[in-house]
Amino acid sequence: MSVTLPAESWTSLPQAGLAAIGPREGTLDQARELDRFLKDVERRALRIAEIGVHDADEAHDIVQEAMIQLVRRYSARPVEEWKPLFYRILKNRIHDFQRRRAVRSRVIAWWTGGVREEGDETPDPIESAEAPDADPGTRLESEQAMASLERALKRLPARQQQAFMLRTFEGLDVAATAQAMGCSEGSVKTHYFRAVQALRGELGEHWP
Amino acid sequence: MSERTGPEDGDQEFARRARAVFAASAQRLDAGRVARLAEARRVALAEHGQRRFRVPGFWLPAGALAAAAALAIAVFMTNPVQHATLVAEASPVEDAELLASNDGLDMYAEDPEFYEWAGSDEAKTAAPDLPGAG
Repeated sequence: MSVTLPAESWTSLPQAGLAAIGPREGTLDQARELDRFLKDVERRALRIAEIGVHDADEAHDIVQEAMIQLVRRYSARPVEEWKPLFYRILKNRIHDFQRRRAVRSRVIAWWTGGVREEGDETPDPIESAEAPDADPGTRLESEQAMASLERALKRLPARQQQAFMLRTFEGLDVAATAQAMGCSEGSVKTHYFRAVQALRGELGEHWP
Repeated sequence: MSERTGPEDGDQEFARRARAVFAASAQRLDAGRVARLAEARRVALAEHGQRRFRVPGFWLPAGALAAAAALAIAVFMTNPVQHATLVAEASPVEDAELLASNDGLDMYAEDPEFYEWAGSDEAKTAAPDLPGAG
């Protein structure tokens, strides 16, 4: 399947450099391309993972594992395939973590008779994050808007959440999102449409 | 400013705002998390360097045998004359055996004049084919 990415998703990469230097022309060039790619996606990937697993340390480990797997398995692939492949790995790692946690929660619920102990909740990464913005008012508004969006996202079904984050946050087009999610383009469109409708209904027209 | 004309425009506007809010949150990452990400990237790229020189496991025994065979052939081919000389010359082990033998010493005791003559220049002139005659 051919993958075409929107130009805005590569805004931090020098387009002339990408055109001139192919990933196969030299290992050093490829290493530089990989470094550029990972640097470009790492912050957004971490935030997406944090939203997915609600745990800052786990999210970091998941992003690091996705980086290593991309380099180990797919660095020889064309550059334009790296992003959907990277997010495919990230999505799978997040899914694995969610599944393990669901099993653990069921075991704990059975063991404790369904009584949840105080302090079980992992800290909200948004609330625990330090924010060195210049304007405290603007920063506060932005943080509150993100916190509302994150709460609404957490209520979405996993597939809708993934489709929305990959399309909106990462800027992947429908084909690349389908590749990252491992589903058809039609499914991506459906999940994305439902996610947007649910989020708009939840957050209201005046958000943020 | 463009006027909203339908639900699709509303969806696009919502997505645009969501992207901006998310991008701001990603930029607000604290220094500790940014440093950890840089370290994670460094570890991943180190994997790239290792991958270049990694040899599949099943080639290692064959490679080692080939290298050993090539080394042996190279040593033999580059110095065959010296190899033959080493075989022909009396080794120190043989000298030690001769010195350790009582027969060898008795031989010199039986006819010392003959052996003195045999080592002289006169003997070399008279019998040039003798060992040690040059």
